[in-house]
Amino acid sequence: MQSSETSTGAPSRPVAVPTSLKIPDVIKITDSDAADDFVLPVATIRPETSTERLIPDAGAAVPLQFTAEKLSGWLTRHKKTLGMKTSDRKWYEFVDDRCKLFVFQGPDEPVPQESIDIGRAAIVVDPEFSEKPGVFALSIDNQTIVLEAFSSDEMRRWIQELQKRRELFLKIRSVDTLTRGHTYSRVNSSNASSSPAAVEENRSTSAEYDFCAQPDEPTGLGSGDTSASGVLVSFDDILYRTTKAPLYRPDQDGENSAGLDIPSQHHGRNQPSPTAKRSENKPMQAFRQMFGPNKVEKVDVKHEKALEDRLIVLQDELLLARDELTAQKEIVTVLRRQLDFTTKEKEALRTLVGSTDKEAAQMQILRDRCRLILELEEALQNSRSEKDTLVQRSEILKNELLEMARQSAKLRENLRNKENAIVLLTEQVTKQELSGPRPVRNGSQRSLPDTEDQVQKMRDILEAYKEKLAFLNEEIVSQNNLRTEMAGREEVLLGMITDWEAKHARLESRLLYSLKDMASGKVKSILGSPEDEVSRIRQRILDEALGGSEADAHVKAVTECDRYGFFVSRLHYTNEEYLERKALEAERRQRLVNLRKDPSSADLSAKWDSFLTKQTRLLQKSEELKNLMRIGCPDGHRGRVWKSCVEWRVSAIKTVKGVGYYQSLVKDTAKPLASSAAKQIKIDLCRTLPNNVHFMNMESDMIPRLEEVLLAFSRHNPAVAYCQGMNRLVAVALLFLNEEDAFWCLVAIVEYLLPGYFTINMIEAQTDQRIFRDLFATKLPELFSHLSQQLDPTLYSFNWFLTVFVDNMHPDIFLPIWDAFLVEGKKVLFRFSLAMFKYFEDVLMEITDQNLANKLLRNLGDRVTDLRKLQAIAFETLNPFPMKLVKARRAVHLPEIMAEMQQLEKLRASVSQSHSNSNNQEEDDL
Amino acid sequence: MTKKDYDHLFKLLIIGDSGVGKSSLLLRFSDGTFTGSYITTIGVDFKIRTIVVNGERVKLQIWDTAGQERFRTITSTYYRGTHGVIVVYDVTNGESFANIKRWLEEIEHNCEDVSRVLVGNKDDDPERKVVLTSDAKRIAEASGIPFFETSAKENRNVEEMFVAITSAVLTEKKNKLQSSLPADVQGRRLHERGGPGRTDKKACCK
Repeated sequence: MQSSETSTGAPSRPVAVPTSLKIPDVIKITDSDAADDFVLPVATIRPETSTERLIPDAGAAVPLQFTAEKLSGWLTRHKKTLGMKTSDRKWYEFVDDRCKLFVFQGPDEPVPQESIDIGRAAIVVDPEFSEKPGVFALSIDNQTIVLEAFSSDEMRRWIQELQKRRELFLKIRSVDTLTRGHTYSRVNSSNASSSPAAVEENRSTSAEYDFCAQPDEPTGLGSGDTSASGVLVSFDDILYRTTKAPLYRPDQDGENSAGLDIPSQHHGRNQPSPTAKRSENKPMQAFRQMFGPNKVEKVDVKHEKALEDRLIVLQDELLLARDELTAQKEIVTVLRRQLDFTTKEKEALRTLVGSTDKEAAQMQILRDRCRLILELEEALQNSRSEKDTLVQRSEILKNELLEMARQSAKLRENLRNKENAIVLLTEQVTKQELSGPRPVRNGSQRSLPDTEDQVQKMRDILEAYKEKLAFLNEEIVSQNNLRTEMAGREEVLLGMITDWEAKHARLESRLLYSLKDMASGKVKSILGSPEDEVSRIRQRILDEALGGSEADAHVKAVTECDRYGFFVSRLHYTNEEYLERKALEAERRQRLVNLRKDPSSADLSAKWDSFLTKQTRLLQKSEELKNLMRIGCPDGHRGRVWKSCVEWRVSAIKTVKGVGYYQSLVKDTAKPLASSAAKQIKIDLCRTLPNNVHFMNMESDMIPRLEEVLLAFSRHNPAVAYCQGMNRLVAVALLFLNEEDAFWCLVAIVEYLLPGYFTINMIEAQTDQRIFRDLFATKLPELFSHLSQQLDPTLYSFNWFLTVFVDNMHPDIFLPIWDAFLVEGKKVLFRFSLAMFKYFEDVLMEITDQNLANKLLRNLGDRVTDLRKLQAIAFETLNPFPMKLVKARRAVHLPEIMAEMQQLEKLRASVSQSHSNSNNQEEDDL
Repeated sequence: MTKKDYDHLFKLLIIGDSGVGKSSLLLRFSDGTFTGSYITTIGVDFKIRTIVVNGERVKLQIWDTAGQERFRTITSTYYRGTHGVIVVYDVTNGESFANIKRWLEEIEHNCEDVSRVLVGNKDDDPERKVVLTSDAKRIAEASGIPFFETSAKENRNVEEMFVAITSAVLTEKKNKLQSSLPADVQGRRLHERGGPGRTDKKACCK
């Protein structure tokens, strides 16, 4: 190889050997023939590197030249000094044999301003520069030189060429070091790795050095890697780390080995072009971003690695063989020199012999010399043959190496195919990921400014959202204020409406009454108009009024239900009654509205809320709850509160009966059941709450549940089985509880709250009515004495007690009574029954007609419009309400009734007896 | 009460099994209405109506009772002072008819000298009718009481039945005032006078 300096061939003399081996100079080694022998790549590189100069050729007009001879062109260098960004355009020329990029002011400048050692530089195409298409960087010893080409294509060519040429240079260097047939005498031989001394020093390890590619050097993005682009390096590093094979660097290894063992014309045949590599690596990068470095398939890599290892071993062997060969050559050289020496000696001796007469001695010496020569020649012959065998062996090894390289190439091809497949799949995955929410991965691959940009964007968005949120909050507050205001106004208007309705209804009713009076002729016409005409008009007005109200009533009865499912117009009333009812209804509604408007009701709901939040799901019996329930439970909580009240009573029996008791009762149809009870239940189903949409007829939704609960109870307590009145209790319970809870509610009432009320003789119910009568007489003596002249008050109160006011009372009134009853029990019934009479005391005191009194009392519950007033009477006006008195009266009445009943039974028995006797007689007669 | 607007005040009692239509009969008679959706009567209820029989104004206080047997102990107190008892069964319910005997006994041990009438209600659907008129007639005959088949729903024979029992009570009262006649004669007279249009069915005591 002719390098930059004149490699003066050694004064070598060919020896009579078949090979063109020369005796090399000890220091200066020429490789011209050896190169031919070993078919080394240098031969083919020669034309490329033939122009040897320090200063590149002047003046190519094109910005970039990458002819076979030289690589040069315009590049812009970006610098960042003291925070200032500068960029200047310079002419860059690559000098192959130095592997350096020289920087000139222009193509014609003779003296380079600067040189960049490409051999030590890593070419980096960082995504950081992606905004500028032609930018790439050269990184040497932590120093980065940012260069910009005209376009990305040109940049790619630059990189391609630089890589190629660097590779070539490195290969040449490694070959040179191997063959030692190279003289290094460079002007700038400051580069340690290229200095001959270093080469000599590293001679034995240079191969390894090239293979290892400085594994100890910091690797990664932008580090001083010598053989691959930054992008590639990062991937290789990851692979390198993953496989934990310190000597294994796939690309680098592959390139170096190819450069070493495959002649240069083959070089790159199996290698993808750098552009291809990059395009290949871009998806690979994406792949890595997706899955992280460890997800790269390792199987093929490992397989190839094994082969590569073998290759390395073989290469080592080859190198050893070459070393041996070199040693042999040295021996040969030494021998030759010895031969020369001895020849000269011989000549000297011959002249000496010629001059002296000691011929015999001379001959002896000569003989000795000849023998020595022969010996030496023999040794030479041996060495030659040895060298031949070594050469042969080397050939064999070379062939083997080629074979291995081919295999390796094949495997690499396979790997590439697989990588391509992975890339393809990854791209698909990425596409899918992109269509869906994209996982944010701020891996090390992501450039910092990009992320910062995104963070900033996100921050902006966050700010915007915060502002929006604040605005919306304000909006909510203002809307809420508006809503409250509107609700208040609505309440007021509603109150006014009901007020007007009540007034209207009252007026209407008054008008109707007067019209009736007129029609019946009670009021005589003062006017002198013809009687017929007047009465006709009267009749017409009356008919209109009645007809209208009737139609109205019908429509209401069909369509309007309250929140419990009760029809607003409860039963069919006669015409006069209808108007009266309407007036009452309007009044009740008005009061309800007023009640809702009342600040105390807001207090009350607040109290309930605070009370219920303190409680567990199942409420505990407490004074607070008792007081709250006296006022009434809000509809929304009634189910829960009632269930709790029931639980206090039945928890013991529930525990005894166990879980699923109710279900077993429902299912256990085989259990003997009093047939009369089942029949009676069936008859009563539709006669329970016909004024409620849920119990209206046999098709109504709650009818089957009502039957189920009643039948279950009759199985649970056959002694009671079924008593009329229980149907009402269950129906009301079902409005707020499920079947099982309604069943236990019935158990609580029948067996615990009102024991003995629903039994076969209803003894307790009767006793309590007598006690009630006594209480009435004690508490409201005037009213009692007035009323009892016409009626027995227990005629009505019996019903109230047995159905807990469900009959003929508006749900808005009886439900709060139920609330108090479920907590406090029977005495609530006493209190409210008395309160009912007290509530209407004034009205009742005026009535002297039994019929009117009956009508009023029969519908007394319906006439209660002011719940608070009733409650106040029940729990305040009637106080003190000592249960002692009740007990005392009970002690009197119970035995009384028992005796009466016994008497009645006796009578019955005797009548039955006489009847059966007479029947028998009749039968006998017949 | 200060001014009497009637000549006689009679107390009538309606008894019979639960669900035979006691309340609907009373409501039909007192208010002239029928809805089909009544509630079960718990305890007792009463209505008042004044009718004119033979030119005399008779104020009727008619008591409606709960039909379920266990309420008998309560209703028994209302038998006191009753002038006439209306015993009702359901022509579509054989059991209610079978229980007539027990109801008649109930009258017997709760009061003496009381007018009675046997009523088969719900006689508006021949398809569903299970109690034969002849059977009912035989029972009435055996007890010596008048018999009516009524329909509160279709307002058939209700008015007639109430007029009949009122007449019976009125006659009884008058007879009591004068001297006394056997009860069965009264029944015969009642039959002779009352029940226009359905003499064949209504007639019971002969």
